[in-house]
Amino acid sequence: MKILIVEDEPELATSIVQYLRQESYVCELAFSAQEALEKIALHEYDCILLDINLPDGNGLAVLESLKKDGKADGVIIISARNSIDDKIKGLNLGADDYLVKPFHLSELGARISAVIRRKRFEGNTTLALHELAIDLIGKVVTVNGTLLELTRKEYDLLLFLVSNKNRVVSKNAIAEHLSGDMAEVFDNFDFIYAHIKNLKKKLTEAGCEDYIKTIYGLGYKFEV
Amino acid sequence: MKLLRRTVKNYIIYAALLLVISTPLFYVAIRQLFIREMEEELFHHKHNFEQIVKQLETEKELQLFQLINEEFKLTETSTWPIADSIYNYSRYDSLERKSVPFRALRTGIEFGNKKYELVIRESIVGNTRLVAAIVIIQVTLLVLLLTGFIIINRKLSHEVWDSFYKILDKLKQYKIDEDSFISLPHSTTAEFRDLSNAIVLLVNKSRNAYLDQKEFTENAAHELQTPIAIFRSKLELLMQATALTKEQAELIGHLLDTTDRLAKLNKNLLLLSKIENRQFLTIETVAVGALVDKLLDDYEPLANKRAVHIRKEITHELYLAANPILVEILLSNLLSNALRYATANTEVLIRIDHQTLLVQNQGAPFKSPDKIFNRFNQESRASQGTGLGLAIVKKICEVENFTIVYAFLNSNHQFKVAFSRTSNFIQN
Repeated sequence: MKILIVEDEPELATSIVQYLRQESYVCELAFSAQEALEKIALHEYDCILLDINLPDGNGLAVLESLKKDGKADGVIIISARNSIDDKIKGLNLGADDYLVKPFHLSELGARISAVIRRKRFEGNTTLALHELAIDLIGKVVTVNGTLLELTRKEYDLLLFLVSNKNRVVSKNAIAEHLSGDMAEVFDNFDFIYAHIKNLKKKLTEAGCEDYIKTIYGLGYKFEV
Repeated sequence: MKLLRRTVKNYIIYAALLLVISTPLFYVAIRQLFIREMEEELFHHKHNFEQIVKQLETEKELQLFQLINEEFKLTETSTWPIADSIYNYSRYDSLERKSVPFRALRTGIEFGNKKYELVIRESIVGNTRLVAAIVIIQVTLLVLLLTGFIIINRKLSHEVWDSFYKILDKLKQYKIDEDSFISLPHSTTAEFRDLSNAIVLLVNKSRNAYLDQKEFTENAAHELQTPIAIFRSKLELLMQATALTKEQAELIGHLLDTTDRLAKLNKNLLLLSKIENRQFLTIETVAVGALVDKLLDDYEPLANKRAVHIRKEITHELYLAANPILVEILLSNLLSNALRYATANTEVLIRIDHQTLLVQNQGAPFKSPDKIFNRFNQESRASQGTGLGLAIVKKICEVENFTIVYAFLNSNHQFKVAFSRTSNFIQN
């Protein structure tokens, strides 16, 4: 799966590449709008991360040209300006998602995997990992065919961990992911611990292997 | 005191003083003049008398003349010579039934071989009358003068000061964070034209300084986003390393927490500028009670951990016509503060009626309660918050026209929000 990262800040771009590589994505970099346009003309990408504040012009212009070619599908805008106008404009131009800096790489990972799942597996809305199956439309989880009674938060948590499988996801990223955009996020992570405990219990009780590992002092990892 | 009243008051005091001082002066001066004139008159009479006496032949004629002309009085005398002397005296006037003052000239005169003392007298106008006349004239003059002055001044204040009051009104209405420029009415008076020019200059300068400062905060916060993003991404990569020791993991964990705090601080700064820039414009119907329930659901773990009991008193569901994002931030900040800072094992009260929301929690009083809505005030710096939560609350209330009041009652912190625009929409 090919991903184009359009980001003028090389350090951030390489971090993203490094993180995504662990998920066996093929990443290409473009540091300017011009470079991005050239790459887009030559290759097909499953997902494009597009910073809209580029040195040689607004990234929205890149998006416009993508839309003209019918390639805007799969674009995730990243921006330092959390501007509602830009967000609306971007989404109207066909972008899939809008992420504001500074984001957690695991959050980005989750968004990318959502985009790719939707593009790649059209019709097939179930994410299967051994005995575990997640129905993304119905938002239900089954283990060996048995339905799991998960709360909304537990479901979100599981999907977030699975989307970043085999990578450590920090408590901080989980807290932010679960509390939504505008809510005041607490510096207290006990509630995550409680959710994880319940989730693990429900999974193992249904006969699922204990994939969720606690990484001391940092967070959790879904290991398969 | 109004300008007009102040000037008039001073004028009246001055006029009264003038009246008091000038009346005796006038009196003395006029009297002096009068007396001098009278003396001249007396000597003139004497001269006339002498002329007439020369024409007379007999003593009988002299007596007759004296009787006809009341002002002359002849008395035979042996004292001789008599020097001219002038003096005052009073005589009872039977007609007027009071003593009347006279001015008299005493002189000697020879007729035939007899020597006479001649007294010529002239009645003096009564002192009291003179004073009364002067006072009446002066008071009339002053009253006329003052009335004229007040009338003219009032008219002037309507015409001339009119533009001043208009300028003042505009200035009172001007809000530096809302109005881009100030337009003042044109005045024909040079002073007011100067004033309005100076005001426009001042306002423009202040407005520019305000914009610069606002822009700086906004730009600084924006510019920080990328470095924070890089920092955070590197930490997340570091976190993936497989051979981390316990100490290293802990260090990374602390760094992640600090980065979170930094990111949150920056986010709140940006949020504050955005609210100031009126970037949240969409108005929707917001159900406050339902939103509170949703937020409390998120905050339940925190409440449980701190053993804080939440008591909800919702008499009415309150529907607002407001920006949903702003209302959510407002409620979220108030609720999370209450839960975070409530004394452990106490109760947080949330009361909603048809127009207000009350959030109350127990705690120690603030050191300076009047500054709690300021950015980065001391109270918040002592805690783990960003120091912007209540500043954001205040700003939201400003842009949405809500009123927020803080009170400390029976060791309870109370935040009361009165909503202005409740909506008539009924939720389906």
